[in-house]
Amino acid sequence: MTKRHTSTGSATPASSEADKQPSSDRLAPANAAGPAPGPHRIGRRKSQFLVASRQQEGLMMMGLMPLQSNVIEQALRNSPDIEIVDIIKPKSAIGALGAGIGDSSSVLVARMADDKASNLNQQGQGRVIVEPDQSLHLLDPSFSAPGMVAGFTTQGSVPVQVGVLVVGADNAPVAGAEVYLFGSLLPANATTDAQGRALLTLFGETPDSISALYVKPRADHWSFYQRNPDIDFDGPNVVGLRPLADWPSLSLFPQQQALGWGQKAMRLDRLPPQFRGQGIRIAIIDSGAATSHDDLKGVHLGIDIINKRTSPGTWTEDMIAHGSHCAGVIAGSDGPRGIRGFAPDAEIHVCKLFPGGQVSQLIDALEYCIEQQVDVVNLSLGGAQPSEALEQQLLRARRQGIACIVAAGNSGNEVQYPASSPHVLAVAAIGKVGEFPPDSYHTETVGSAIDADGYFSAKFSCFGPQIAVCAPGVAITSSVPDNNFAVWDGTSMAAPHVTGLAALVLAHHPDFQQRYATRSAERVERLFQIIRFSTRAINIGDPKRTGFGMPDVLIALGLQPPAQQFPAAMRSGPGVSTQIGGMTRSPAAGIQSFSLSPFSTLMGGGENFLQQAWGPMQAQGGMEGYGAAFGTRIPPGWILDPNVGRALW
Amino acid sequence: MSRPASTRYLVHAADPATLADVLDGIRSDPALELEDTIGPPHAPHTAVVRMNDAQAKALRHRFRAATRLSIEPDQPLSPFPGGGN
Repeated sequence: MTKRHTSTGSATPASSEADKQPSSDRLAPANAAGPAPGPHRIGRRKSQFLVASRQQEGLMMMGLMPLQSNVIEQALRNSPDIEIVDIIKPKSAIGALGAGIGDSSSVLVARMADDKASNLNQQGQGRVIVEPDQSLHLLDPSFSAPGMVAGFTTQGSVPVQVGVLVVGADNAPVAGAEVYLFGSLLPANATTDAQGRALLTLFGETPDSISALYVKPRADHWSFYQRNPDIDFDGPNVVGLRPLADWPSLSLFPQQQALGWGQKAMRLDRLPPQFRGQGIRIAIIDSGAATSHDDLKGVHLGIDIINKRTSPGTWTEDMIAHGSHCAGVIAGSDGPRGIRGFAPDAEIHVCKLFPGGQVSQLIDALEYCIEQQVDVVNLSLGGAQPSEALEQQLLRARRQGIACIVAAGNSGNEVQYPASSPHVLAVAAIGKVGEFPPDSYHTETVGSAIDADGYFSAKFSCFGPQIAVCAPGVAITSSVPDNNFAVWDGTSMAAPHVTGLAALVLAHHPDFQQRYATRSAERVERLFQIIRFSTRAINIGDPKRTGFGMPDVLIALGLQPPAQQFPAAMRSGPGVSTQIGGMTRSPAAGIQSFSLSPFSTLMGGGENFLQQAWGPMQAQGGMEGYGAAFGTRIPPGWILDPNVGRALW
Repeated sequence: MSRPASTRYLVHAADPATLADVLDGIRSDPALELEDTIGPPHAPHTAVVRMNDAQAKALRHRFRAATRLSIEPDQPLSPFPGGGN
């Protein structure tokens, strides 16, 4: 029978109107089926539980005999919202007698809401087992297979097609949304057509084995995620997506300008309006930037690195929207609509590398940055292994005064390369509770620890001692082609927050008008130092996930004193102004030191770090002829000076 | 018999003079395909060369005396996905 999903999340029988639809037409837009209902949302289905009498000697000694199965069955049948699906009984008298307790060995399979099961468990006072009937999964022996590719075949299973209709405001169909159904085998996915319809083909799944539904809109809506969704295999499943403006902090958006929650968290909203990053050059090495977007119309410079010989001007075409999203966070225009970026008056250079980019092309893009005297580079990208050639280019760029801000990676493991390079500033992602709808996918990124202000480390964020700072990277609203907005998660979104802040610091902090006005490695390190010490702590108890914390715009620009208390002895050092303090420390190792070195966060843990960063490369035998510069282990207490080679800190 | 598949390699030298020597060697070997050079026009530091593993090994051996020279496969990069997947 066709089901409708109410906005409160419960599944109800469909209206007679819907039932009259022919099955082949069950994907018709919702507003074609009669009076326009409100947005329908798929809710959590009743779960299946196993209920049985607990046979425990300890209870019997206390005089508590096992409950008879028929007593339990009767209790369940008396509850109208519990549905007994099956009763599994011993097949013979031998089986029953084997338990030694007569009619207490049956297992009831029942469907009920989670809270009902919890109540039943409580009321049973230890004498009733109530546990979820878990889906069993094939153990995939090819554990090293890439994600999403399993080592078993679906041949022979009976395919089932499930229709999902995705609608937005006023039940208007949402086209281009990716719909995923996760079950016990391969996930199924499809993209909605112009009528908002997606047809997903499942193999070997049942409604009860579907563990999650995820709908990812292309733009202008919040995502939707439902664990254990109440999926109807026979009828249309309607998902209503919230327009972005449904969320209070984005009300009237995008017609009226807004600041993202991340920008507010870093206090960009408190910055006087004259601080706009003017005079600073920022390169975004990514997938291009759609200058068709109102927020990116001020971007005029760039190069398509992949097609530099044939069509270098195609950097304005962003097929995957990733670069446009980053560009909006960094430099979205300060117009009447859209989202304002950190440094709307900075000179943006777009280096298009994706799709198809390789290390050689990143080296080439950095060469462009050196030629153009770029000040800050945003790298929301990574590769599988370190590269000696790239490492040399990163070092060369830093010596030329280019600060590379790099996303840590989204694999939820150790920091990826090039974020693991000692020549860059690695950025992890955090989120904040209350900045996204609870039924959006962003909820799935919430880590186990949440600090008093609601901040958490995103589950996907890579971690390690290389993390310098963290920045907002969950539910980040920014520009996507052609002239839309999307809310994305990723360290890719966190790094641009720091890149934008770095541009503001270079443009407006007095140190960079005076002592560090000249482009050099020291200038880059001073910038990194100011960023580290402008942070507010994210107190989740794991500095490997948050580094020094989240940078603050006002503190970084010297407009307010640091938020974190550092020992007085650490607050001055050679060549350091008093606005931030001259201390560096290793957040992960808890060791503090004076230093202007880019290796300063490695103090005490530097040797381990280098081993981590370079171990894979050494193992693959790619280090020939390079021992003098690479693979050098730095003993604790020593740093590599970019100009001198080695200096005592 | 088919030839081993060629892949892109990065040949990097900290000293441009060293890379110039290597480039001479690459250009003199018709089996190696020089795709690009990266760096200042008159002093590139990196060459992108298409060759197979055996050829890369041979090139490395030929210039084993060169200091701070690296030869490594060109690896793919990817933007870290956004959107929660």
